Amino acid sequence: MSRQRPSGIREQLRNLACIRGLLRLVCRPSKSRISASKNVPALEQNTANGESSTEKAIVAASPVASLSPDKSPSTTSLPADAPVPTTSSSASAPLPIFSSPANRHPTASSPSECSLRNTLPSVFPRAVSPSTDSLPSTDKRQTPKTTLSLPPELLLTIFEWLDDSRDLVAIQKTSRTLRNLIVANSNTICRRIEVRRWSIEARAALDVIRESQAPWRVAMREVFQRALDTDNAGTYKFFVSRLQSSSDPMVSAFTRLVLLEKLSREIVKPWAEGMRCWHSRESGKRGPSAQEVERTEQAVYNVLRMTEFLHALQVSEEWEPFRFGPEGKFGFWSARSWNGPLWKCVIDIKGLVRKFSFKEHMGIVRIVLGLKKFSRSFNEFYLTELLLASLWDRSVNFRKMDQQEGLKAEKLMSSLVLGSLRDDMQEKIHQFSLRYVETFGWETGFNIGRYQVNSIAISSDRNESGVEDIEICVPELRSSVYDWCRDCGRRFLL
Amino acid sequence: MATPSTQATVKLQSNDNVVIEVERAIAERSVLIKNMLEDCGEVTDAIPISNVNESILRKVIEWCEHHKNDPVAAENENDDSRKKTTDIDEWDQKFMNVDQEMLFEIILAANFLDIKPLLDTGCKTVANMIKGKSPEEIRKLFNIQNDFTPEEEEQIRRENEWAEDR
Repeated sequence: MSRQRPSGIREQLRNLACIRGLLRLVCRPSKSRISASKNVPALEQNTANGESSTEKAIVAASPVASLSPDKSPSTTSLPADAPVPTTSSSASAPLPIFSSPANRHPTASSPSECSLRNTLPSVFPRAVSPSTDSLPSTDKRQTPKTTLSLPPELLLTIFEWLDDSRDLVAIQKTSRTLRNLIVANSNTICRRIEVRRWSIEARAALDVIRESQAPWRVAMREVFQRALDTDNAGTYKFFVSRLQSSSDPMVSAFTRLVLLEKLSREIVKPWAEGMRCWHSRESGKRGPSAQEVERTEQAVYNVLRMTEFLHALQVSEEWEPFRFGPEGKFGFWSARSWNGPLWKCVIDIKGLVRKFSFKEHMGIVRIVLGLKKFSRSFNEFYLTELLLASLWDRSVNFRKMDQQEGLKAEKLMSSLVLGSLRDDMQEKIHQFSLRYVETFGWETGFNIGRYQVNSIAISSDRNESGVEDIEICVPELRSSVYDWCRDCGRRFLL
Repeated sequence: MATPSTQATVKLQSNDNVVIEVERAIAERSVLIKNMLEDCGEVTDAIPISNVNESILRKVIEWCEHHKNDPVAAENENDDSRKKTTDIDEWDQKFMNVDQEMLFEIILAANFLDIKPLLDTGCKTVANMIKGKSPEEIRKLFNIQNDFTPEEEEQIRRENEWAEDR
């Protein structure tokens, strides 16, 4: 098909640019180029809610103004001598870049009210979506005064490059318009910050807390409540308060972000820092590499996940540990059910430390041991003993012993690890492990074949109603471990 | 469909009618221009860049020249694969060490011309300026007028306390 060209290439290019620009905005938005239609989701949601976006935006633009209805926002965010931008949608009177209609009050909430409102109902009691009438769009020409006078869709892109919820809070405290913009788009901003900023391990650890069901949550409350009685109370106060809320408070992206930060700052960083210090001492002058630091932090998140699980197990006094299989796994059952054990769960503590080097493993153990100083309550910190036992188990496989001695040691180790799940054996395993280490030293090999499975699983073949009940495990091995547990469960329990 | 062009340079015309000739490879750092050239084939006239003035256009071209050998991100690359840190390399830091109005214009131009790495760099620069600052410092930095009443400020402070309790 022949193609007719306009007489002037300049004219053709202009036309083409216009058409391409329109197509980009309407049909095929570019991944990178920021357009209002793509990056201001609250506005889209308004439309989807059955109201026109303009109408909703007008309503939404004024909510904070209702805190002080007399104050005219037309003089808000630009200095008196700032040039007044013109926008195509405000034909009658040009508005300042961050102005919003002053006299309108929000009348109803909408789904577009972001998660910040869910989290902080009294902070953001009204719908707050930035209005395209009051905020400039990318394609509208204007005379800028400052960087934050950028169009809202680009401001949102900038905010997504922040790292910390504190910065978001600080920005929304600067002016009404910026607050409206952030609040209305907090889910988008916070989710992107979360994905960019936080590792998969960190998010998984948070999910364990967030999604856990009883007895997990009950157990956590118990643990944290104990911590409240210690000098370390501040560490857990926030979690306790959030977890003890009647409704699930951790529903919004902003709350998730804050929680991740607190998790990192109050639990993971101190542990990892302790380990780094220890590592540096042990390694002489060489400090840990960035990779080692990152791996350590990931390991601590995994430890945290495991801690949640182990403490959850302790809530039932009826659960008794047993060992099964040659893999060094341990199970629990409850004898409450009339026709046999109700629960079976599998803990592979060794899987937990699969990623650790031997020294890192030692460091983690030392840090966890250090937690005991906070409170006598940490005598029930079973993870310490399990980590110790697994550390010791690693050394058992280092072929420093002859076969007979190895078998003997392994048998003893097994009984001690089993015992470590009971209070009366903890001191014993602790002492034994340390003595063993003193005897054989650390610098030996590691039979990694024994540590391939990274699983935390809990499963039941049936509950009282005969229906499959609960299964929780590390995601990547979910199906295989679960199947294996089911097979073993049938063999052991039926 | 236009045939692929072997044209070595293209002319770009700023909105103040200054024509700048650049290597095609450099100009094609802009996805907008790249797509235009692909559609139009060989172009002898200057391409009007209507939203960008000469000084900004030169600045953008300077960035494109420096980054002309950088790998181009795939079209379907998802957001997760973007560089996750807000670190900016040394050259880009110097490049972005301009007054706010210039920075503003660079970001707008990068968005208009669809130069994603430059847009990211600009946004990261502004984000880094914000990080760790108090509301008052941000206001001062960006010339924002505080339009909250003291009562509103106090209310917002109280209500955000839980998130700031560090």
